[in-house]
This record gives sequence, structure tokens and C-alpha cells, in this order.
Amino acid sequence: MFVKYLCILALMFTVSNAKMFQSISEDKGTFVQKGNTKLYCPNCGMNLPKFYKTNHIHKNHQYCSLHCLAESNNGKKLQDAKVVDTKSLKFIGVKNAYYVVNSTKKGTMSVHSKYAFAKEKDVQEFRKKYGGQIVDFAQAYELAKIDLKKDTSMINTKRQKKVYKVGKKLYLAKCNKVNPEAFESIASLKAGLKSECKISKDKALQAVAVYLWDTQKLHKKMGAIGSIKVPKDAKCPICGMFVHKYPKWAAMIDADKKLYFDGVKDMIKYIFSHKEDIDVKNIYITDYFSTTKIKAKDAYFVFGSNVYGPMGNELIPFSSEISAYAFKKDHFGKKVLTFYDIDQDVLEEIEEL
Amino acid sequence: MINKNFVDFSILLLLKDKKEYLFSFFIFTFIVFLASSILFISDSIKHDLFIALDKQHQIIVKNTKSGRYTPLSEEHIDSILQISGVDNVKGKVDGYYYFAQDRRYFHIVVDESLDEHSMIISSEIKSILAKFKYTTQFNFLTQDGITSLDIKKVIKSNIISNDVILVNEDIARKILNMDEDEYSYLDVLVPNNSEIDFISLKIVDLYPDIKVKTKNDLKSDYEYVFYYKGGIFMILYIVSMISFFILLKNQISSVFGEKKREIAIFRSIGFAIKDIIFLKFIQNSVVALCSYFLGVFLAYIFVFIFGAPLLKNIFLGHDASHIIFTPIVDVKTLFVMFIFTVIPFLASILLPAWKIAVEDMSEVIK
Repeated sequence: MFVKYLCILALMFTVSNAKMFQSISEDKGTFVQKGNTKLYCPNCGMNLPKFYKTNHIHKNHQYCSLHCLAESNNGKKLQDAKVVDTKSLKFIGVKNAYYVVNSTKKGTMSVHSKYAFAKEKDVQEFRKKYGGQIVDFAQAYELAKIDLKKDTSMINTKRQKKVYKVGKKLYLAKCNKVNPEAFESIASLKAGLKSECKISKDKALQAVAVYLWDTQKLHKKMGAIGSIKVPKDAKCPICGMFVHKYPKWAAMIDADKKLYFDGVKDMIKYIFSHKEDIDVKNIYITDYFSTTKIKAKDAYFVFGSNVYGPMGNELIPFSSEISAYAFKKDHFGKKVLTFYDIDQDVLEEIEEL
Repeated sequence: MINKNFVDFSILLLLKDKKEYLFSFFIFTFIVFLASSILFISDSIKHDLFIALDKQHQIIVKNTKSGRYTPLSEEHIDSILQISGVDNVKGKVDGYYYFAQDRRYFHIVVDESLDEHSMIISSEIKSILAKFKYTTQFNFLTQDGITSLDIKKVIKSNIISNDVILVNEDIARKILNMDEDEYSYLDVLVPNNSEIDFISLKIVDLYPDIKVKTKNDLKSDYEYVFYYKGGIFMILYIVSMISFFILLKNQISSVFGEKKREIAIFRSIGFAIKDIIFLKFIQNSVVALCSYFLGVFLAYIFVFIFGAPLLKNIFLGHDASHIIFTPIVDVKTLFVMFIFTVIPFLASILLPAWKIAVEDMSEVIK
């Protein structure tokens, strides 16, 4: 009877503690940083106990992952860093550590996970369970550097699409005004926010910190908001159609008189015939994916895809190169062009398609 | 010859033969009542469902494991966010709590504006809880013990909110025993409508176990359930159609009986054929219009004021005693019903009346 009771208790315990693989409770780990930023990664501000099993220490800074270590040291060679032994949760020198990369357990801030072990026996056991390759620190660090570009772009996409929006909403609703310029790192900003905001969850606090740090201190763009507002009676000067019926395709020249077009192709035709009166800065188009207003000079155009605009074959505009190439791949596009690549030949080619 | 006296005369004649018209009147009213009640109920339910649907994003993503729904993780959100064309992915917590005493499931829905000690319940749930003396608060039995919440507000029960309890997200996770990075479903925002289908395919490509429903899929599902050809609707419409044919039969035979003689007398005292037809037209229009409007009016009161007792259970089962219907009147369908009931009704009396009026009167009087 007692055993049965214990079993139920144990089951309940495991169910309620089914957290992420990396996470441990705060009292089980070692944290070398001092002050109120003790539990935050100095590079990204993330909670260290939550990602403890991928923690690294270098010069009294404790990073949440190999990604952050490589990023904040600009990929310099490091020999004196320390890493958590996934099995015993103690810090060991990286020289003596065995890394398992690419296992099925998800990593921290990276597509390829990297976990370190002190003993060969443990590393074999882990690999047997979750797969991956066993490498030493130098190779794992090299891999982290290679991943850095891709991981950073993934993290940026996530932040642009979600984290900034969440952070901004929370900041405006639950925080007092905070000036990010006064803080030297995102970790100290996060610690500062803890007293200024009525937020208890680490995840929410992280979103606010990332939003403030990236948009106000690093002045990153939040992503365009708002679309081109087309008046009901606006007609395309080239084809004569009403533009407000096709808001997804609207393009605009913001000169003395605002001109609206139902697609980039018609706008380009107009620009070619009135070259001298138009300033490139005043040309706006609608991003295909987000349907927001963007500047034509910063946009990328996919040509020859299987998506048609109101006037047939189109040059389809995107705000980022990544999404333009993704679209080209998905919709059988022929080329990705910038605004300055578009010339008379391109127009003729579109007409011939 | 169309003047006030003529109309007065027709009405007088109608009132003289009250009893004969009464049967038609009741049957007609009943048919219109039944058909428009069904119409009101289905339109109202559809309206509420569509309003709820409009608040969602374009794609809904659910996870399955061996054919059953399982929670999604933060990882799913991260990788779906990376698909170009997706603008935002929101993880939602939502599920059912089993209330063993009454053998009922309560639908737990998250409302961020609530604090950790209060909840909003529907009037249906209020009455269930009141049966067990929970009038100001309710205790949820969870893995970690008892979570008790105060009833902050009671909302009206409609088709969506009937079994709903609104709580804070943390409390919802506690009640439903879900971890912090688990989600019941994901709400995917795709700003460009023409990319929705393509992106749903991409999500399925990423995770073959995932079930993806777009807003349009859900809309057509609802349409299908409340489509007139579907199950219960068909039966109810067949009932009204058969009774309508009985009515028509009664109409036609009424002309051929006693009324035959009446028409002949009118003819012999100098009524023209068009006058007789007009007389019949006035009389039957009065009956048809009165019963049509009375039927619609009664149906409106029955459905939207009394909440359609009996008929409601056919649609929604037995757990629906507190559901109220949002008053929605679709004038277009009512007009179609008008055309398809009133016109055959009038035709069924005017054609035989005309047929008799043109016969040889001496033959008829004999």
C-alpha cells in the first residue's frame, strides 16, 4: 500500500515537473555572477537556471549558451572557459569536456544542440539515447560560430514577429517608464525592469527587456505597421482600374499629387515615362507577406512566379531578402531583383511571360 | 369595380364563412411558425459561431499523437514563426474540466484581464454550481490540490459560451494540468489571404502529426451543419411541406363543394369573372397574410423570448436549458418563404375558382 502511494506521489512529481530538458531549479546550480543580474545571461538576458545545462562561464560572465558565448566574444578562440556537465550540473573546464552536438534534445538559442559532459561514460549514454556526434570543445565552438549567422537570423525573425509585439504591449500596460540608455547590458536592464514592472513571469520580463533593448538602445526596426491607405476613387494612371479593390497589391508615389497603382509593374511603367519628376524616396509598395507599407528602394522583387496580380504577371515585392528567396522557392519564381535592377528589359520580359 | 364597398363585401363574406377558413388559417400559421422557428434558431446559432470565428486568426493548429489531441510546445511556435508569410503565432490555453458531481465538462477559456482569484461563468454553469451550493465561489480539484476561485461575473449563455468558465492563463494551466510551455492550440496570423492554404500545407510538411484548420474550413464546416439538406433540418422541412400540401388539398376541395354554388349565384346576379376571382383573391390574401405574419411573429416570440423550448433540445441536446438565442432575422429567407407559401396558397384557390366561374351556370346550379 505504501509503495503504491509512493508511486502515485512520484508520478505526480514527474508530471508537474515536466519542464524543458535544460532547466533546473535555482538552488541546484552554481551561479558565479554577482548582484541583481546574477541569474541573467549578459548577452541576451535569458534566465540562467532555465537553460542551465548549456551554461558557459568566461571571465566571470555566465552565458546561457555556446551561442551567446561565441557572439559576445566575436568568435575569438577561448581556452579558459568553463561549461556545465550535463550529468553532475557542476562546471568543468572546456578542455576536458566532451560535447554532443546535433542530438534530438533541443538546444538553447541554436538549431543544433550542444551539450557537454565530463565523463566519457555519460557522454556515450546520452548519445545512445538522443543521438548526435561526440566532439571536443574546439569543434563544438567552430560549429557554434558557423551556426551563429543562421541562429541570429532565426532569433531576429522571432523577435520581429512576436517578441517585440508582446514586449511593447506588456511595457505599455504594466511598467513605469524606463530609459534603456542608462543600463550597460540587457541583463542589468532586465534586473532594473523587475522593480519597475508588475510582471512576475520571467518570460514576460524577458520580452519587455528584449523589446526595450533592441528598439530603443540598439535602434532596431520593429517591422512596418500599417498599410497603404487607398482612397475609394483612386484609379491606376496606367490601366485605369480602381486600386482600392486590390489593397494587397497597392503601390504609391507620394509626390505633390499622390498616385496609386494596382501593382508594381504598372508603377514601374509610369516611372519610366516620368523619370525626371520622381524621387525614389517617395515610392512606396505593399509587402506581399505582411501587406504593410514599405519603401520601394529597400525592397526585393520576385519575378516570374506563379502568383498573379490584378494585371497578370507581376513583380512581387518583399521587405526582406530572406522572404523574397523563400517566396521564389515556393512559388517557382525566376529571379530576385532589387528596385535598381528593374529596367526596360525586365518589363519586356514580364510582358512576354 | 375595385372600391371600398367591394372589399367590405368580400370581408363580410369571409367572416360569414369563418369556420371554413379557420382550418386553413391554423394550418398555414403552424407551417410558417415551424419553418421560421427553425430558420431563426439556425441563423442565430450560425451568427454566434461566425462571430466567435471572426475573432480568431486565419489558421488554427492542433497537435495529435496516435489520433488524439495533445498539447503543443514552445518549439512548435518557434518553428512556425520562421515560415515566411506568417506574421504572428499565439499559443492558446483551452480545455475541459470534468465536474464529477454533475458529470459535466466545463470549457475552460483564458481571459487575460482576470486576476488569479476570480472567474467569469455562464448562466448555465451558474445554475449547475448553485445545485451544489457553490454560489460565490467554486473549488477546482487539481493535481496540486484545491484551487478556489470567486465568481466575478455571470455572462449570458449562447451556443459558444454555454459551458464556458473564463479564467486567468496561469489558473487555466493549473486547472488543466498544463506546463508553462504547453499550449492547447496555436493561432497563426497570416496577413495575406492568398497565402493561407499554402502556409497550412507548409505547417503540415513541418510536423506531419499536426492538424491544421483554416478559418474557411471551419466556416464551411459550420455551414454544412446548418445546411437545409442536413439531417434534422430535412425532416422538419419535410413535415412542413407535407402539411402544406394537405392545406392546399383542403383549399382546392373547399372551392368545389358549397362554394361552387356560391360562385354560380354571383355569376347569375351579374358578377363578371374577374370580379369573382378578385373577390376570392381578397378573401384568401387576408387569410394568407394574417397567418403568415402571425406565424413569423409567434416564431420570433417563441425563439427569442421564450428560448425555443422543446425545439432547442432537438438542435442542442439536453444540456442547453439556459442557452439564449441572439435575435437574428434574415429578411431574405423570410421573403423566399413568403413567395413559396403565399403564392401557391393563392393559386390553389384562384385557379379552381376561375375554372368554375367560366363553366355554364345553369349546369352548376342544378
